[in-house]
Amino acid sequence: MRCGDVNIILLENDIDEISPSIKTEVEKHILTCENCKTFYKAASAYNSVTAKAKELEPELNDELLYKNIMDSISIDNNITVRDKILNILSGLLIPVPKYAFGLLLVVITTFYFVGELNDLLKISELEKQYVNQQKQEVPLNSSINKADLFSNLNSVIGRLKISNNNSYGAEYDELVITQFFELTNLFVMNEIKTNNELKEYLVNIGLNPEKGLTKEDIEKLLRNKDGLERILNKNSLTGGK
Amino acid sequence: MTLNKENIVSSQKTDYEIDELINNCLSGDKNSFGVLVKHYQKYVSAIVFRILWDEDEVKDVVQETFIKVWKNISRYKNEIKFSTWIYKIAVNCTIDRMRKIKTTRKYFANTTDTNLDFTTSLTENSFLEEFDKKEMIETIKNLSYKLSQTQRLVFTLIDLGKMNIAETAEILNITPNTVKANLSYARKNIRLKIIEIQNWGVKNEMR
Repeated sequence: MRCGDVNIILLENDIDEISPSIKTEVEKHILTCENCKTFYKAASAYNSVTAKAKELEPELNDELLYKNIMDSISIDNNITVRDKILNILSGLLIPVPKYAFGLLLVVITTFYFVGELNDLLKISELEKQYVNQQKQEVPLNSSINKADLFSNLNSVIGRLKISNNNSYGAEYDELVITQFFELTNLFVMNEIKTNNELKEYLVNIGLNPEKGLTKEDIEKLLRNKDGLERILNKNSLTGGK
Repeated sequence: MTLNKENIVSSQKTDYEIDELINNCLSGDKNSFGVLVKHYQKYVSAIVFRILWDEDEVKDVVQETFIKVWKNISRYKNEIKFSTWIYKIAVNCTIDRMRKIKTTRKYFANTTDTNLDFTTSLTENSFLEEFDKKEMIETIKNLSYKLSQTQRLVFTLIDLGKMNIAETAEILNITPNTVKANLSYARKNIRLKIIEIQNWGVKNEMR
């Protein structure tokens, strides 16, 4: 018998379980081989260790441990019912091959992202609508870029007492423009329907109706919605005067 | 008394009785579960103890094991023995516990040899005989902690727990060949450690 054989025998077997004939062969070999003799001694010591280890037991209070276990189970009773349901559900899924879960995951993810994309598109659409709505709802009496207003709507506004060079200055212009947009608002709201009502309104706000501003002028201005919007938008972007 | 699976399981309950108790548990019968706990408690405690070698940790792990058994008893399939199934849960709970306390490095290799003080001249036949229980636990603990986790589990289940290769493979979820290889390495490593601490000396080819 060679050293390698002895090693294998000693490692793969419990020394007490080696058959007598093989054990004789091993013992014959170790008489002439110091290394294997040492290893044989170590195998015997190992047996001694495991034998001792098997005798060692934890010093536990078995009754107390039993009681603790049973108490824990009583507390966990509700969880057990829930777990039973989960167990049944997971049992139903057992026949499904593993790759099916992967496929399912891909499908769910795809649906999820498609749903997300749709939502994003809807949000984008709603944003556009909201922006348009906001544009339309910009109060007409808000502060605007007067230069643009003068150049684009000169024919209408010129009939009001507005001038960059008047003695009242910019504050007066501001007041008149504000009044002008209040006026257009009233038209939008259908609160001024006739030229008489317009005249009455202009007198009330201190303007001269003899300047010839008619409701047709204002309606014309309102029909030119794009021009009005452009002015108002520019105003909101530039921040005013 | 040497505690092993055979003398507990076979002397107290037949397989038929165990099956009946399991069925009762499935209907929520806690008394039947109590009988199962009493039946397996000692052996589960022994297994956990021989992996951790720490009495303080054992009771928590055993308690956790039986709670898991109760919660999952409906998952038990007759393909494996009920005892094997319980030991599998016990070993997994023990591994979890080892992971939780990993930071202390108590249960992994690289443990220092501070407790290995073999001042007495020992022979292979008197190895450990002079030691009291605490010293023996410390010595065996240090020897087994030199092993990798799988080697230690295989060594514990087979050489200390008298389980067979197939059952150990089932419990650890590894192949029988892996069990054999790990057992061989575990035995070799412990024996080499014994040679080293006994200062018997051994040439390189033995290592």
